[in-house]
Amino acid sequence: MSDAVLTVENVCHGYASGGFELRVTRLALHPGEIAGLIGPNGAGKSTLLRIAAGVLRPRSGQVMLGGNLLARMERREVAKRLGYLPQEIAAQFDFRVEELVGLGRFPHVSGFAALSRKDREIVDRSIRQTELENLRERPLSQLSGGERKRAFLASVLAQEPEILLLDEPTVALDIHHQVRFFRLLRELARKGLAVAVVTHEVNLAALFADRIVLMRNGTYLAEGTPRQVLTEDAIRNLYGTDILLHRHPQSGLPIVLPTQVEPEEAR
Amino acid sequence: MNSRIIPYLLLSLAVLLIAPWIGTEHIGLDHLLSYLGGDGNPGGSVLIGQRIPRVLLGFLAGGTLALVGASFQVLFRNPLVEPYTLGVTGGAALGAYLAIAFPALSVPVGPLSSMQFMAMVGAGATLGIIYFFARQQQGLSTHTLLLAGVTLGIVCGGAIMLLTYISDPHKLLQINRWLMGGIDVVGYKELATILPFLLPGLGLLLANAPELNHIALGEEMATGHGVDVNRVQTAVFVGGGLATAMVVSLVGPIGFVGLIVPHAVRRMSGFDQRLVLPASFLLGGAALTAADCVARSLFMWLWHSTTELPVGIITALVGGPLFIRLLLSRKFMT
Repeated sequence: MSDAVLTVENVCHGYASGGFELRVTRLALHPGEIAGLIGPNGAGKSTLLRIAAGVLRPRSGQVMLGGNLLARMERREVAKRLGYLPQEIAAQFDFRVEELVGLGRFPHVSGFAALSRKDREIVDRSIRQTELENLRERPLSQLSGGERKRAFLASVLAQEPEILLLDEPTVALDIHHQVRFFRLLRELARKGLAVAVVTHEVNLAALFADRIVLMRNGTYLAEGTPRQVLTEDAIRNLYGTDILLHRHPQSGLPIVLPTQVEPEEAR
Repeated sequence: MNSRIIPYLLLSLAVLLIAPWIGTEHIGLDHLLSYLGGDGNPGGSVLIGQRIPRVLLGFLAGGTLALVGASFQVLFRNPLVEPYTLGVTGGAALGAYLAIAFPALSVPVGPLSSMQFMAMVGAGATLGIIYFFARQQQGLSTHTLLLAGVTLGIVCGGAIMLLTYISDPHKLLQINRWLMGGIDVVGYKELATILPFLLPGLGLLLANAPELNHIALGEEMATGHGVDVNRVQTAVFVGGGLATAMVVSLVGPIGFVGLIVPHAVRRMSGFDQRLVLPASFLLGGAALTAADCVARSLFMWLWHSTTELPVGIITALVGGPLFIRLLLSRKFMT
């Protein structure tokens, strides 16, 4: 396996309100690999991702981006290599899709210059990759939740990052677009990107991720390939007893299902 | 962006060219020419020494308020913010009032009257205090900034009421007049005094226009796109605060320009801050200059009287209803 492009080492972080503390010894992202971060609500997945993206400064520990300490780097230099899609984005203005995606070129262009031909080609490609060609002139307010999510992803892709950190990117997407989305991630990983996805879609993560990190209460429960990590015990441990582990009929990869509702309970 | 700024430029140019000729006295091109010829024509002298500096100050003040308003509405992610929301006016008013109420504080500084100087000090002190409160470990809290600003404005208001209550009634007239806002300067000296502080302030705002596009997407998204959010927030606050303090110290509180103009610009020209900020400056400048033309000629048009109205009355009376119309006519902000 090639060297890690991004590593998070020995981070500790807690919020002022207390109750929760993140303790992670090591998260390493490798080119060409998708890592899925899975765990119940409040496990610290998003916090870990935000620390990895340099959006949140941890109480202790460090993030290394390609041999440099991320905290010491210019934000623009970080953005050339690392793309981050937050979980919730509330745009104040009603930008058009094309305009929004163009904003992703920020790290590469001087702020006032018009986009060059090459920049516009990259914007076009990002729009194509996220299948937004027909919506490029639309203002954000006229998009569905899933389309908006894709538009923001497109703006992140326009940064041309080597590393993608995505926080629940498929939340508002229908199952078709969820699958398309993960296929796109697979495609990007094939081209050499290092991807980390925080998601509640355990099954999609199992199908598409190379590596799964299971988290609970701010720490790792397990880390490894989907087959190694997603065991009946681990799933029960993570989500409780109403969950059933099954096999994907085509790939044989583990998938999870809710247990059957007892007939008398249903009535 | 480049070509879409042109209508704003043309409008501003037109207003700047026409406004000096409007006023209680009729002044024509012949007056100007004979004055420039060196015969000391009084009309020409009024034009050069009073009308033109007044038009310039009006344009700069209106432009500054609108530009700061546009920037602050993004910085605070709040469409209702205007330059005065941060309590700057309250601080400036208190400073001006202190200069009036306590003759000991009446020390003119350079070409500035003691009122103008103390207003500047008051505005600066207000900004310093709220900045101190809003500084945190991980940068600047815009929430705290806004709350502290509004609160401090109220405190200053209370202090002014107290001073009003206990002080000499005929001084009230002066402060009352100050609170109405006006652009009645004579000459270029005041203008020249604030420019060294005003221009860097405006420059800081305009220079951060590209970054403000990203701030509008939220701090996390902006950081992800490569924006140093804390640096931009600090620059916009300092630049906007400085510019507002300078303008307020000379013209007092002039409402609504800083609130409405950015909304109007975004409505007409979209949301790219690289266009919105300079366009707001131009439209704000044109709007306040035009309002001041009305303020200084309305009574003459109506009753052939040379009395002037404070321009703050015009902007509030015309601007208020306009804003409500804007508010009702479509989904707010978007």
